[in-house]
Amino acid sequence: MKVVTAFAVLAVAWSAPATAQELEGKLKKKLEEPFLTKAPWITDYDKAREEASKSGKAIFAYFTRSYQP
Amino acid sequence: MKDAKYDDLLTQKGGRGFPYLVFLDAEGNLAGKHNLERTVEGFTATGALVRALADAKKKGAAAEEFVLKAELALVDAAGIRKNPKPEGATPEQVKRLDVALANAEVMEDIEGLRGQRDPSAGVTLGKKYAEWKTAGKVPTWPYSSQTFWMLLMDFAAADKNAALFEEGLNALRPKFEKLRGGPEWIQKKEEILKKLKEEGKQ
Repeated sequence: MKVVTAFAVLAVAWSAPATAQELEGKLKKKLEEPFLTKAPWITDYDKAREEASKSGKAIFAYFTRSYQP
Repeated sequence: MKDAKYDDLLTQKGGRGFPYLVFLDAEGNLAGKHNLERTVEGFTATGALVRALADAKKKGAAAEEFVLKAELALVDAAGIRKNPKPEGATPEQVKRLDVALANAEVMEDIEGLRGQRDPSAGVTLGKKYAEWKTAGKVPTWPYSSQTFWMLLMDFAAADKNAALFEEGLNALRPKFEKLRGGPEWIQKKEEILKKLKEEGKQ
């Protein structure tokens, strides 16, 4: 099964200034994890659909938060 | 996502929490939910189901299409209960649908437990799962299976049924041994099991 990998990180608490920096740090750390760096994840939903349309592949979408698995 | 353009994408695609892993087609339509292990093998298996579903649709194989939709959680428990034996389904397909129903019903039970304040609710479900087990109805998705065995163990402890408790513990042990905090959890359950055995009801 060939897929386009789409990665969505929703940091919903970013509106709270006191924790924004901490969340950004967690997001940065997460984006450095091997399972994310070893695959060409696309973080732009429109681009993922465009790529899937061009290649005939399905999209494998991963919804997460900066502090979730 | 880089901006707030798709802030509600999770709920649009049927997600209720994180992490949420799904397959989408090029138009963004939900093609299947991932409910197997979060491993390469698990993702590959779900991907194969998504491909099989597309093939079944092309061939007009309605029974197989329905079974695959159930296996990919595109049909919920209520939907499966309405059509437990699709027209033209083989015994093997009906059997797969039974397993899919067990998985979907546990997920439905989990939803029902959200916000539940009655501590006996889990034990009541555990009793139902003990009956399922006797009837050979056992879920297979990791999350459904884990919930099934944990609540069954809660019931077994309340019912002072050491043998049933031990069966649940043995079912969960391989997975929990590898989890953070899992060995401690196992140790606590071993202590409960010891007490149940001492109390003598096997």
